[in-house]
Amino acid sequence: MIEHAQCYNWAASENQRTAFDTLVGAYPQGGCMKLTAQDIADVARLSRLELTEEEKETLAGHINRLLEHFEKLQQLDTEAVEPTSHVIPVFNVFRKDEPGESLPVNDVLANAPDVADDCFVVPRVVET
Amino acid sequence: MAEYEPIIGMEVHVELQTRSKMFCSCEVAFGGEPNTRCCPVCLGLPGSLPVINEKAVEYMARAALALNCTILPQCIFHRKNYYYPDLPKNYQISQYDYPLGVNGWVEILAGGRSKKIAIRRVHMEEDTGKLLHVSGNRSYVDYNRSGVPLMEIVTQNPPPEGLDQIESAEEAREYLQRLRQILLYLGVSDVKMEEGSMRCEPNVSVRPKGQSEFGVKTEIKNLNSFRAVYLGVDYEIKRQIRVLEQGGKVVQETRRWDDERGVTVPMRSKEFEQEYRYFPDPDLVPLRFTEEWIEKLRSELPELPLAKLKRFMSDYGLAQADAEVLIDSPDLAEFYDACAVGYKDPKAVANWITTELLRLLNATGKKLNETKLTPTHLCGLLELVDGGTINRNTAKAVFEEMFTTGKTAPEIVRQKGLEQVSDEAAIESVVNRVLDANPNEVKRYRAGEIKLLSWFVGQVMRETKGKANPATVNKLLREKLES
Amino acid sequence: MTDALYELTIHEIHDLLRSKQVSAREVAESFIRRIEEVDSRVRAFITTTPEHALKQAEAVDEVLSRGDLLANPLVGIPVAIKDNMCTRGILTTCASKILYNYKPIYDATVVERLNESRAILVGKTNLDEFAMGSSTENSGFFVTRNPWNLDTVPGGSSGGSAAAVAANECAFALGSDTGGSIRQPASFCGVVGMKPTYGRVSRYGLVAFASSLDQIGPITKDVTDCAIVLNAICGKDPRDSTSLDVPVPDFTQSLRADVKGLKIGVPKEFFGFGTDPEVEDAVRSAVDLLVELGAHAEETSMPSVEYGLAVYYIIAPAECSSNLARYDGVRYGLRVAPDSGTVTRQTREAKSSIVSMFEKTREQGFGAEVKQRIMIGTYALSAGYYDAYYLKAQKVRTLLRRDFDKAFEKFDVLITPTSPTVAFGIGERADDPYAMKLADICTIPANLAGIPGISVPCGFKEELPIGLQIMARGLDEETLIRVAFTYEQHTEHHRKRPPL
Repeated sequence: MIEHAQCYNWAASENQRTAFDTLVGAYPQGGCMKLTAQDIADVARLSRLELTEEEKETLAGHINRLLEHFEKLQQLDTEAVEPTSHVIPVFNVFRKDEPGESLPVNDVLANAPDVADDCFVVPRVVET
Repeated sequence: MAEYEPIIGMEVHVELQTRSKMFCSCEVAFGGEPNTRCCPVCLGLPGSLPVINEKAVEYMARAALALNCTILPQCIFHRKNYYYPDLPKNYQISQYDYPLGVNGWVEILAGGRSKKIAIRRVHMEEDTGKLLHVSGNRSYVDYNRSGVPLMEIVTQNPPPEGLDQIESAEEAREYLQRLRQILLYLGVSDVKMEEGSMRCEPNVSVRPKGQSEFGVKTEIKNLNSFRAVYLGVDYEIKRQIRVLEQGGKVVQETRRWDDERGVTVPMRSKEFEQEYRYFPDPDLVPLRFTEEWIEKLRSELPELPLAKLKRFMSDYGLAQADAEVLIDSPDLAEFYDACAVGYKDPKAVANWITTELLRLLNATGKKLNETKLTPTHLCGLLELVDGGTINRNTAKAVFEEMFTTGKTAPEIVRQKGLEQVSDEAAIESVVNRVLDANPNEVKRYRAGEIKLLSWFVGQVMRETKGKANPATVNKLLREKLES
Repeated sequence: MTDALYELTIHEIHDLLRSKQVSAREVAESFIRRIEEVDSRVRAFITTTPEHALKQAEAVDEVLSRGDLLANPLVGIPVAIKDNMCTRGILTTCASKILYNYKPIYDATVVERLNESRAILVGKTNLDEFAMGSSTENSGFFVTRNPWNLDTVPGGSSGGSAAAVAANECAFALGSDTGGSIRQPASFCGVVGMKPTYGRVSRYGLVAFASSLDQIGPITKDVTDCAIVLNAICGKDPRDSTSLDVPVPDFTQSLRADVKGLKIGVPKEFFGFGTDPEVEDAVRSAVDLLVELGAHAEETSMPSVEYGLAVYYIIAPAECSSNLARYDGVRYGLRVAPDSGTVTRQTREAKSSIVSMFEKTREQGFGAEVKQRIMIGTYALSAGYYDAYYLKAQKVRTLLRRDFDKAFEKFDVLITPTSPTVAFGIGERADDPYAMKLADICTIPANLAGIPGISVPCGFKEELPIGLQIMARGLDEETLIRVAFTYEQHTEHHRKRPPL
């Protein structure tokens, strides 16, 4: 389990500071971790990653450290700034509604780990 | 005991009838062998990229306009992230805060009280593949349906000022039927609930009358017909009222309609909201629509079913029930419209269409456009009846012939010699022949057995193969028998 | 007739092929032998394709013997392709265990274009898993070595491609660049690497890492070759909505040694990230040389650049968390069977066997760095955090673009180090992911702004190459090539090859 203090100690160790800290912003004084062990478990579940306890701990440290660095962005006033989701000023890229060739079913299934009756096979999906 | 009022929200998905899929050129079709309409894009293979089908956008924009929505000037595709084996990328390309259309409505008649059901949004997305549950501990996945263009139409509860919400199972069904009619008229989908090209997930809540906040809602799945929607919603309303009346609490959940048992059963708990992590799809660029383009689409909208219904009733004097039958399919409505314009008695044509034509269509399993019948044909037939060329019974036979061969009524009548004989001299000779051949009956008639007249008429009609003008036959027989 | 054809550039080999002094087969054989000779030490390749290459070469010889295609500069030229670009029927792993056996059923657009140009594929190169990393140490399979010093990293993520070019294992290579993944390894390996403008080169068939940042580009031995390869791979692709429908110039026309009147901006922020003084010296000397040749240079400031790393480490993981969701063991790649007995009734905690399969497959298939980025990205996109992280990052990205727009109102190019340091030792930064990320600090801004950048060799520190980064306005690769070419014409750094 990841404890609050443990994370704080880990991150606050002067020796472990790197140029990264100076770069993306000084480590906030008295900064505390954002993600709890439950958060990490939830994010892992959302990401479909079955993490080991050890991984969860390492990741918690890394992610919290990054999140602290992201805090730097909050200093900037972006109230009136449009977000950039595309760097290119392009709109309305379409294709014509013309049917083309589909793949032969053998190609479709070529890399499938499990196949039967020209279908991909998965463990039974419970009606949820 | 408190009285309860139900409130129903509708989330409807409609598959578009484009030729190719939403983001790739695989064909859109129903059925077929599994995994035969797939390519790197709709299989979500590494490195593949989506490209938007222009026609699909146009279809959905048309639908949005027909549903009285505002088309937003900018429209963005988002990724909706969730894991499911029928979703090949484990995200669905959908829309979030920049949908295609917003703030529309669909009018329903609601048993005489017209209501405008508020629509919150119309958005574009891609369909998922299909999971086939086979016996044992395995499931099969078929991606033929993956990437088929899908339109989502969501109602708004509570509705904004001036608009309404769905408040009964009947209204839920009518809303869905009106929606289906509109989309059918636009020609953007075949909207078949049984084949899944129209899918509906209503959510239902009830609250004591007078209470302004909503009750806890449940969502119903597995409704595959209009009937099921009606029954499922009706069941759920009654179930919830029963729960509340017994002092219980309605649980927020998804329930499955069991058509055989006629009940809804709980599926999964919806305690906590799904976390879909929407964000703009970086593989697609935004869409921007010009006012001209939107106006062009709007001007090209056909007359919509409800407007047609009202016009048929007011202009042609039809009863609502007849008008409903006629407008239910755009083909039939168009056919009727053309007939009604080309013929003096629109009600009589309506009658012909709703009885004779529909009977033949049902009997043959054909669609109107698969027959050779035209409005001119039907009007021509009715004119022959009016002009006395043929009688009603002959007309039905001629109609059947027209339906299968595509010949005109005069053609058929001429070729088969079915013209009604109104020539008095010709009929008189037959009448004379019949009277001469049946002296006993003549005696009995003259002795007062006047009901024999119809027997004489029958004899004359048989001799003339049914073509004699019945009025003339009657007149001549009477003259001769009573002279 | 040289016996070391593998040492030559594209244009040199082309001249020999054209004048029929060598055959394509001889060229291919030379490179295949070279790979056999050195790759056990460099380890640039995940897959080599000698048989495929010889077959292609023989076909090329036949075409050439008929006198066809002689003018096409890539005919018969051996190329290595980063293993995140799809090659039909040839293993494409992204250096990930999750795709350890994946053979695409289609060619990436760039691969198609190289095939049409009749280039010869000699193999698929190593990378940081799914292109996430700066040293190629994050490969799911093995570490690639820097040919200049086998104890140092080649940079990354296109470390295999850069090392293969530097080690003469191919005449040129393709890399992909999301935050510097072409330019930084090119810098570490002493070769030329360009990230073109976002949208110049089709991404169709490039296995996505961060779709709004990814761009394919060439890694070559000199600037002339860079222009030649660009000519072959740029251009609108109807299968990529984000590829730009703009005319593609003949980039070889920009191979002119002429910088008279050129306005160079030297943004000071790019020198502030713990930059090695020798790197700074080399870059400043390069600027001085260009000034001597007639350019004007001026120091400038781009304040938002210091936010670049934070913005990048939100946007790239967010996109990656979604892009990598498809690796679930259903359709391709690794599948790890679910735990037996997990087929339970749905409760909040219990897992269905399908979820268990997803989780185990991804747990075993992905490496630590990839998992970390997926987790950060998933978190940053979550409701409640979206505005604070993802949206904020997108907005700061706008500020950064504005800074570049402003700079390019005044300057034709911006010159910076490609990376603050030269290649570091293998394992040296493995325990310090943040120090690792520093290697990309100078290259990330160009990806965020979508503008083109090139790295060319500009000196050495203790026998390890130093890279000079030149950035230009969007779609102005021509100026980049002209400036880089001018610099190259007056220096010898690019002629040096590692002593393998």
